[in-house]
Amino acid sequence: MIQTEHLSKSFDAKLALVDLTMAVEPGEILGFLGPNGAGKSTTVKILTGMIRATSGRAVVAGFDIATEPLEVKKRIGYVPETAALYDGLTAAEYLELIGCLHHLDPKTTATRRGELLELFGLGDVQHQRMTEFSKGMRQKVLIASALIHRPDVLFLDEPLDGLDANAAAVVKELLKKLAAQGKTILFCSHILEVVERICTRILIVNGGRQVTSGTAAEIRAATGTATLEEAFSRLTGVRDVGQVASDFLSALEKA
Amino acid sequence: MRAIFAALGIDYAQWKALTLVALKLDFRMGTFLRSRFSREARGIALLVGQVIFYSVYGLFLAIVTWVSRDLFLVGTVLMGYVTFMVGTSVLVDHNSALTSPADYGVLGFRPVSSRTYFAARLANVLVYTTAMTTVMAYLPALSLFVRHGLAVGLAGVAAFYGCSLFTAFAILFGYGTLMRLVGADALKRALSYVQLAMSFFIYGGYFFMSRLAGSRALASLTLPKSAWMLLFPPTWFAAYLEIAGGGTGWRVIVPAFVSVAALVALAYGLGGRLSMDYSDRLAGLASSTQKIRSARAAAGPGWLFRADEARAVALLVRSQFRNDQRFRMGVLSILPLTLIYVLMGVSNGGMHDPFVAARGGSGFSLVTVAVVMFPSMLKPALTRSESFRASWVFFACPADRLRVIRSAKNVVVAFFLAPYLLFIGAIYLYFTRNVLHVLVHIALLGLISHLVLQGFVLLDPELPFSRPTQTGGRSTALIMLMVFMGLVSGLLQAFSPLIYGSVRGTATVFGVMVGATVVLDLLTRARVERQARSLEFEG
Repeated sequence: MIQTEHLSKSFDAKLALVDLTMAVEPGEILGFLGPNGAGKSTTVKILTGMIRATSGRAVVAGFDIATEPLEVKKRIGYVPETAALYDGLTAAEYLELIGCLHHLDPKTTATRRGELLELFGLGDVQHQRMTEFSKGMRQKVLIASALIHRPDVLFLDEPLDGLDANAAAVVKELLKKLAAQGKTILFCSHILEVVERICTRILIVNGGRQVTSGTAAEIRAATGTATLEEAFSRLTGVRDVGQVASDFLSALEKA
Repeated sequence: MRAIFAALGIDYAQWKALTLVALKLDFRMGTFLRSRFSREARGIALLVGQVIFYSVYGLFLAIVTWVSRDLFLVGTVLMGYVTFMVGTSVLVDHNSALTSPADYGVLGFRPVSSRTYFAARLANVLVYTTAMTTVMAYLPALSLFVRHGLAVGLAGVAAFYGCSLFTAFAILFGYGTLMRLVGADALKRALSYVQLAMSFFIYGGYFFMSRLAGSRALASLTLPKSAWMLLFPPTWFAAYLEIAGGGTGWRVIVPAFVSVAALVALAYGLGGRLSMDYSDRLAGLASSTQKIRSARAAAGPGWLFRADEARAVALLVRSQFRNDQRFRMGVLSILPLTLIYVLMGVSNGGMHDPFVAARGGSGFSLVTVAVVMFPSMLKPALTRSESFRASWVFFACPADRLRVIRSAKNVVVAFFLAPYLLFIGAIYLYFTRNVLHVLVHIALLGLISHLVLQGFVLLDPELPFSRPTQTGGRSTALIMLMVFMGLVSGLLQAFSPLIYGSVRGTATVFGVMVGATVVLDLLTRARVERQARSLEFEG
């Protein structure tokens, strides 16, 4: 469902993504991990057709993103890392806008938006402008907008950001159920416990390059670590975190 | 320097840091342009362009300064232009300098005093206005020194900066005072209308001055010091030149004294209570968004735009007009200009029936300038927005970019241009009482302004609200457009007898316009299809 071959992206002289080859099958939730600036969001932006790859190939939902971007976009849902939305709109209007852009008929949009907003507990405030919304409420609208057209593939960049514990639990369960229905999900997050709990497989990138891929257990075993957090630190080149914290403290005391 | 700032209750180090960062951010936003050139190159090109533009204006003023021996006339013209330019810049580019709560989210919890914070915002505006005044004034100042001597030259320099400072202070003081009087929430909602009123004052004052100075002044190259003239602030600063040239009497001394008193009062007002509780008021403005306000009953994007991209764009444009003050102001700012042009048209002997007037050669009135300018004001308003990061939806959804861009143009035509033309039509009808003639004339004006809009879309095909806002360039662009569209309007005026002189002439022009519209549409389609492939999300 998601397939990349030697995918690369550079911004002027800076290499943001180098030679990424991977595949995510239907029913899979791939935890796409990496430290800040590792190339996660760049990969997601390429796969969603927001920016073009410098080289390589990507196929999403059976279509090449470079040659048939609209076919891909019809079949994907996306929650961006930055919760940017037109907050002058109401939640209902925003979902109507998304429905229009996905060519849903207005009745279908109206029905689905009502259902989704009710499920996220936003039914009562759906006619309020989103300028008045908290970060979590905006995130819920974004997740609803990623689901309203029933996509086959979901790209979720920090989807739990800002959500309260209850809403986060609902979204995690929802993702599992969607995967069980055969949807393909690429899940970017820095919360490793969540990734370990809901993702069927994990891929770690660092400095734009893939460093490992496998189940959480496989990665732990390969790195000889007890937790995914430790494995992540080791694979992404961070020294002993305790030592780093001590170095910080010493630096602060010196200053 | 630090001691002076400390005496004023301003933390110098914080003030300097905040001012420099604000300027850096403005420069970067201004150069956040997709181009084959680097951002720095674009930034420098933008600056050079502005320097050339203001220098050309300065050259014109230097010639006036050289030609006239009447220092009051020279001073009034010079200061009138300074007021107009600085006023436009503050209104168009820096209207949110004091009222934007965006910084408050970043700085509100930092140990920055209200006064320091306010001073940094004020300095940000003054850097722009002072730089603009310098570039505009160096040639006329040189002319004053050479033609009228050292004393008048020095007085001219003082008058330039005094007048520039006065204009910026007066507008910012107006905003600050309103925020105190009506409250943050009310001001936020009414800000665009406040700006409209101020625009009317700035443009109106400029044209009022030119009308008053007009024929008599040009005929004799002197300007009488009537009581009415002395109510116009630029004349207060013009008095400096007269005093330096040896002028005496209360009509010279009093205006100069009033200018100094006004500057001191404004500076005192801005530095006093306005700055003391600035943070509180910004906090009020920031938290006013937290008050629950239901959207007005959704009227829908209208029957014209029922499906898909067109409906989406219509929905968005309507909402942005309702909620985005910058966009609303971008659209509505045509109104003061139009009213000024109507007033000027009326004072020039009324707005004639274009068909009848054609025989006299004045079929197109000054209002044409506004009608032709409107699309060029709509296009940047439609493209640039503080919500530009939200435009990722147009990149990640299966929306046809060509349709989105064309829909945006059509929505703007239907929502703004058509009602505006109806408004202009009503004005013409009031003066001419000939429905058919007005219909034909408005249809032709509509075709022309639509053609201008198409031209702008062709030159710069962008998705709606997808580019960041820019500080420092909009007012220059606006003034350049006023000049350019004035020339276009003059050309139309010149061809007026040909257009309205016979049915065949009118029909031919309509045919040409429709043909040009079709050609531009095809060109736009080809360009957008080519460019759409290379568009990338920049948020």
